[in-house]
Amino acid sequence: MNQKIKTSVAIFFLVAFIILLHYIGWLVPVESFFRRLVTPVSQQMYSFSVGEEKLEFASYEDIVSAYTALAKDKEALELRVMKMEYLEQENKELRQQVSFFTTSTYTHVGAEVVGKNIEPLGSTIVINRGSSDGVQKGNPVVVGDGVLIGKILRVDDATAIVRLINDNQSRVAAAILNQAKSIGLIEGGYGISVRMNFIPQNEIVQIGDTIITSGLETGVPRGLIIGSVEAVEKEAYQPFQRAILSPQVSLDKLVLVSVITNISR
Amino acid sequence: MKILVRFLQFFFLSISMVFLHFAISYFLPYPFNTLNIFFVFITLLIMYWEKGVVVWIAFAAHFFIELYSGTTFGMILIAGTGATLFLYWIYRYFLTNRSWYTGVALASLSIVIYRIIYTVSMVADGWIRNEQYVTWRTMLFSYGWELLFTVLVTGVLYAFFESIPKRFRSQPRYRIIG
Repeated sequence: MNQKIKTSVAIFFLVAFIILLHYIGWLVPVESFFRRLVTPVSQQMYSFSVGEEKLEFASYEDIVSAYTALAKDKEALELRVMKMEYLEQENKELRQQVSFFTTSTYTHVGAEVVGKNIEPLGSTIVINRGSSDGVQKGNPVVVGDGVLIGKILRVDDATAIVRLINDNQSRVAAAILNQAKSIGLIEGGYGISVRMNFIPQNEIVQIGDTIITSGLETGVPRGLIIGSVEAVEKEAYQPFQRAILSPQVSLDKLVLVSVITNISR
Repeated sequence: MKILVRFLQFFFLSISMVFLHFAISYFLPYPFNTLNIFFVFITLLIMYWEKGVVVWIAFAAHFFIELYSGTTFGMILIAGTGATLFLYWIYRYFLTNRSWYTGVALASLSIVIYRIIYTVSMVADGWIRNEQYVTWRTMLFSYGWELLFTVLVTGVLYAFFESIPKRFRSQPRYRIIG
C-alpha cells in the first residue's frame, strides 16, 4: 500500500512539474524538438488524407443536371459581381467625400496546414507558422480572397493551432449583408454547420444572405466573408432569432491559409 | 547498453502510438476516428507486459499529444497518465486473470476513468477561465463512440494475439537425436 502511495505521489509530482515547466516556458526547447520530430509525419499524413477533391457522377443525367445547376449559379454570380462593382464604386466615392483613407493594408503571413484536431471534441488545425513569424493569439486566419476560417488559439515558436469557426468554443462577431445590417455572434459546435445567434427578432434575414465579420472584435477586421444563410430559426416571443449558415469553404480540406497579423488603416 | 535499449524501446512505442493516433484521426471518418488507440495499446501492454513502465509510456505519448491539442496544456497529460495508473492497479489487484473479457473490461474502464478525469479538468478549466466548454450532449455522444470502438478493437486484437501462440502450441515439438 505504501509503495502504491509513493508511486502515485511521484507520478503526480512529475506531471505537475512538467505542467509548471511548460507554463514558465522552460519546456519550450524540448517541445520544439518533439514538434520538429512529429510535424513532418503529421504533415504527410494530413496531405495524403485531404487528397484531391474529385467529382463523381453516377449517370449521364447527373452530369446534365450538375451542368444546368452550374450554369444557373454562374448567371446569378455574374449579376452579383455587377452589383458589387456598383457598390464598390459608390463606396469609393463616399469615402473620398468624407476624406477617409481608402487603403487598408493587412499584414499577413502564409501558412501550410500540417495537421488537424486529434481530440474528438474540438475542431482545430495546426499550421507551420508561429511566434517567430509574427503570429499571435487571436489573429484571424483566412483562405482565398478573405474567407475567415478561424482564429489562432495557441502559438508556439514554429507552429500554431487554429480554432476553426465550427469549433465548440469558437465565437466571432459577425454582420449580415441585409437591409437591416444585422449583427450577431457566430458560434460553432453544431457539427459541420455554424450558427449566428443574437440576431434581433424584428430584423429580416433571408436564405442566401452573406455573413461577414462585423469588425467589432479586436484584431478581426470588418468584411471577411464567413458564409451564407441556409436557414433561419425564429421562435415567437423570443427577443432574438438564429441563422444557420454554411461556411464559405470546406473546413475539412484546408491546405493553404493566411494569418492576418496586423490591421493597419 | 540495456538501459539505452529499454529507453529506445520506450521512446519508439510512445512515438508509434502517436503516429497511429494521427493516422486514425486523419484518415477515418466520424465516428470511427473517435477510437482511442492509446488505450487499446495501453490495455494490451498492461495485460502482456504486466509492468509499471506502461504508465511512463502513457505519460510520454500523452505529452506528445498535448503539443498538438487545442485544450489547456496539462488536461490530456493528467487524464491519460492518471487513467493508465488506475488501470494498472485495477489489473494488478482486481481483474487479475488474462482473458478477452478482462481485456474488454479494462478497455472500458480505461476510457471511463480517462474521460471522467478529462471532464473534471475541463469543467475546472472552464470555471477558471470563465468560458463555456462543450455541451453535455456532445460530450456523451463522443465518449460513447470512443468507448464502443476502443472496446471492440481491444477485444479483437486481444483475441488475435491470443490465437497466434495457440496455433503454434498445438504442433508437436521434436528433438532430433543423432
